[in-house]
Parts: sequence; structure tokens; C-alpha cells
Amino acid sequence: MDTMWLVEKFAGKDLERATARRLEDLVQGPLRASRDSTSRLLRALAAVQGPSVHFGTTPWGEDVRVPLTDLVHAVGLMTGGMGAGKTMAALLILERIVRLLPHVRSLAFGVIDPKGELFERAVWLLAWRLNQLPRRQQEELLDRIVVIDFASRQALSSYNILARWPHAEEDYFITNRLETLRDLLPSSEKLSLRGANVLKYILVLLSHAGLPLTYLNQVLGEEDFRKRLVEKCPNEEVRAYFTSHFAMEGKQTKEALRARMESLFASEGVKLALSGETAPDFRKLQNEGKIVLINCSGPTISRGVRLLLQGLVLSDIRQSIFARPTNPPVTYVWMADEAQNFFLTKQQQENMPDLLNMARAYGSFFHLLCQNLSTAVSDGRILEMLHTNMRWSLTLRGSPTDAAFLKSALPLTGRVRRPEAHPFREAGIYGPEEERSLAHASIASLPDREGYLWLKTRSPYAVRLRTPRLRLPEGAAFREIVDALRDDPSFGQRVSRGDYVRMRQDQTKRYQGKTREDLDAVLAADYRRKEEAYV
Amino acid sequence: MNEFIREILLTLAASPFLILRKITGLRHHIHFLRIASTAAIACTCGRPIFLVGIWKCSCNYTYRGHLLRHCPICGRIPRMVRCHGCGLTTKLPEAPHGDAHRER
Repeated sequence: MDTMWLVEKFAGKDLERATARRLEDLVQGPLRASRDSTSRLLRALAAVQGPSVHFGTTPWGEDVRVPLTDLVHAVGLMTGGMGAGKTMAALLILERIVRLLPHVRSLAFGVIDPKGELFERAVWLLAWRLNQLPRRQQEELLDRIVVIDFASRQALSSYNILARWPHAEEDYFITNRLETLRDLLPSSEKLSLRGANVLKYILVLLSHAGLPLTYLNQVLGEEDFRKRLVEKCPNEEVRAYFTSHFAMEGKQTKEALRARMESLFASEGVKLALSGETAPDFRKLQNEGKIVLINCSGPTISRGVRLLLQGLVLSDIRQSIFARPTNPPVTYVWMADEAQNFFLTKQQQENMPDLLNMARAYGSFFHLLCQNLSTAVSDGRILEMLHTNMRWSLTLRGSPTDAAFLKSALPLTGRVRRPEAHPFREAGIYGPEEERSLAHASIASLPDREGYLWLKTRSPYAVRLRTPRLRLPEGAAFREIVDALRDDPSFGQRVSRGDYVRMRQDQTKRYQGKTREDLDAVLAADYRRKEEAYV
Repeated sequence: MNEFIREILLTLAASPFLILRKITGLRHHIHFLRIASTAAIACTCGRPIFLVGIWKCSCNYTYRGHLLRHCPICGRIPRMVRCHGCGLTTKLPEAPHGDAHRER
């Protein structure tokens, strides 16, 4: 006992302090270890040379700076419910790229937006950047901006969906267009087989004549016009169809087709854009490092039309990516909002994994922003493929089912207390799997702009963070700037409505005049041939 | 007288052994003191084995502080400690004065 007395006398206080420290270590240890590994990762990221994106701060206040190259040279996925902060997070990347413009020519981005929110904010970012630049660089940047705004009626971009992709075979192009139109054409019912057949031949006919889809009504209803086109068409099968079979098609089939097209052209902006003669060459735009902003939404654009436009644009972009040279000098990032709409049809579900798998070789990368991907992609294999090819993800408040891929990467503290109903029973700590399940379930109730950033190639664990808010003007100040630019034809290489309509009228006149001459020549030749045969 | 001389002689003859025993006891004592007042010892694997914390005696008495303490209920002192890194156990010094020892 004397020994113990001696120990207590001389080392008692030190041991008490050591015990307190040790117990504190045991409590905080796992938490600290988790933080330490995150901090190591963040320090490694911060040490990377080159521009970086300030993605937010960790719960303990450490800055999360991710090298821009890590983000843009990869397929990224941002998921979250309405108002969770997806658009704001996407803007953080765009803002960093915009800051590098117009000096950096090896990196560019495109925005495909069916809501208009990301599009408008991207427009504002560009306006803000333009204001910062001296005149010469302003012009350089302006020259790089291309806007396709289906909602605008004042500044228009021609988007002829029947303008064939360069280097693509006619059959492939028409089949692709037909399937997109068949699956996504807004209507309560799907297009019948017969209707699809009629549509197919009309698409070939118009595509050969270089006419937009807005002429479909005339093909269906005006015999003269149709005859003129048929005579000009080099495709024998199409000529044979219109000569022998078209007349036998039921009136109902034609009316159903006409009705569906009318719903597509209900919005004036969409009708004007689709009635143009040319279509954007996304291959060229990507190779030249243009900033392409595409807006598919507007007050008069219905949901069905929006989905169709998004589908058409996606199929054009897909085609253009594979037409790019491998390892091109310009890295192109497509920021696609409401990306769940890219998996609506079977064709899209087959195409998207291809695009995500192989686009890397062609220097194009997709960043998908969506609310709920697992609901949109019913095929688990495609979802799996998507998650495999994705190199980073930002998971904000949303459905835990959608964040199932993240479960194994959720950071653990090892210190979450298990609730104990019995007052005299010792409270336990949740095990790793239980804690992970809890963290996974809590994704459904994360606060706004809080989530998990997982850089798969950098760490097996995700980083919990709170994304910063970009200082954008709100209300009238924001609208004033954005609306002025949206209606300004000089912004985004567009044409004013007046000029656009005039151009279309000229083209129609020219075309009709030319076809009339052609028809006269054909009739004269035919008459001469018959006359000679008669003689 | 003879008896007294014999006692002295016996003591003198035994004294080296007695001194040696005392020295050994003192060494054990010091070793015990050293371990009982240190917060951690090193395992053969190189990891530290912490001797401070919250402990539970085999009689279920739970105490806070250093491991090498008499349990106020059963009076036992732990005799070994396990390394949580490699799983090996290290023998602890025995308490002086023949205190009751019991492996934990």
C-alpha cells in the first residue's frame, strides 16, 4: 500500500491529466482521424498547380479547393432536390472557367438547360466577365459565345433539325431523328407505326430538299409542293413511296401527324428556330472552343416540347462529339441540367453510356445535374455504368436511393451515440455500417447547399462540405442584365427577328422560284419525251 | 555469549544474501513504481500500450485512472495488459508486499 501511496503522492496529478487526455483522445480519435485524412486530401488538392475551384468549406471550416483540371477532365454528377444548390455548385465551375476567358483557348464549356436557370446565370457570368475586359478582349470573348435560346422571339438562332450531320449517313440520321421524334413528340399517345412510316419519308424528303420540319404541313396538305419535292429527291425509295403509296395513307394518320407537329410549333420561338435553314455545327463549335449556351425552356414551351428539344440537342451533341478528332486541343465540358431527361427513351439510354464511356477520348466531358437519376434510369446496368464512369460527384439533399453509390464512401466519425431508452443502461456507439446507413439516410434532410463531394480518383471517401453562394444580383437587377442580353442578337451570334424572317422569306422565295423553274424544265422534258415516243 | 557471537556470525554470513534480496526487492519496487506512474508502455510491436483510461476489474468494479491500482472491492491488481495493435500481452510487474494479483 505504501507503494500506491507514493505513486498517488508524486504522480497522481500527472496521471489524472494523462487519463483525461487519453479519454479525450479515445472520444475524438476517430473523428480526428477522419478529419485528418480529409485535411490531407484537401492539402494535396490545394498543392496542385493551376486554377482551382473553391467548392466550399468543410464542417470544421477548412476550404475545399479542387483543381479545375480534376473537374473538367472527368464526367461529373451533381444530384439534389429542388433548391438543394445544384445550379449554384455548377456555377462555381463555370465561374472559374469564365474567369480564364478569353485567354484560355484550350478549355470551353456548353450549357444545356431545360429550365433556364443555369442558362440565365451563365449569361450573367459572361456579361460580368465582358464588363471586366478591355474592348479587344471583349470582342474576342463575344466572338466565342454562341447562344441558342428557343424561348427568345427577338434574337434567333437557326436550328433546322433536318439539316444532316456532316459525315453521317442519311439512313442513320433519319432513323435517329425519327426515333427521337417518335418517342418524345409531345402527345398523349405514341405515334402509330403507320404514322411513323409517313413521318420517316417526309423527313427524308425535307432533309434532301434542305427544308426544315416546319414544311411538314405543306408536304402533307399541298400536292403541288409535295410533287415538286419528290421530283427533286434523289432517293428512289422515297420517290416510289410518294408516287404510289402516300395517297393511300389514311386521312386520320396524316391528321394525327399534323396535330403532333402543331403541338411542337405552339411556341413561336421554337417554331422560328426550327424553321431555319441551317443547324449549329456542334463539332466545329467544340473544336473552336466556343461557349455554347442552349436554353430549351420558356413560358410558351410545354414540358413535352422541352423534352423533345433537349433530346434533339443531345443527339446532335452526341454525334458531334464522335466526329471530333481524338485528343483534340480543346477540352469541352457540357453542363447539362435536368440530366434525368437524357435517359427517357430506350435510344437515349443506350446512347448515354456510350457518350460517357467514350467521349473522353474526343476531349468532351459531361457534367450531369439532376434531381433523381435512379428513377429516370430504370435499367440498373446503365445506372451502374454511369456511376462507374463518373469520376467525381456532388451529392446534395435528395433521395437516399439516388445516393446509394455514395454509401461506401461516406465519411465516418465512429462516435455517433446509439439512443438508449433505458436510463441505467450504458449508451453504446453505432458501428461503422450502422453509422454509414444513418449518414446515407440523412442525405434526405441535408440543409441547402450542404452535401458530399466525392473525388473518386483522389480518395475513397467523400468530403462533407457547404458550397459557397456566388454573389449574383437578384430580382430586377439580375433580370435587367440578363433580359437585355437574351434579346440582343449581337450577343451569341444570333439574328434579329426582323432579319431572320426576311432571310427565311428570301430563302423560301428563292427555293420556290428555283423549284418552279426545275418543275417547268422537268415537265418540258417529259412532254418532249412523250411527243417523241408518240411520233 | 557464544549464542550472541553465533548470531552475529550467522548474520554476517547471511548478510550478502539479505542485501541481495533487499536490492532485488528494491529493484522490483522501483520497476513497479515506474510502471505505476507512467501513462503508457511500449509493446514489442512498437505501438504504445496505454495504462491510463477507464478499466473494469473482473469483479465488475469500473474505475478511472491508472491500470495498476488495487481494486477497492476485491483488492486485485491486474497482471498483464494487451496491445490492441498486435494482440500480444505484456506482463505487468507484481505489486510489492505480496498483494493479491489477478489477471484481467
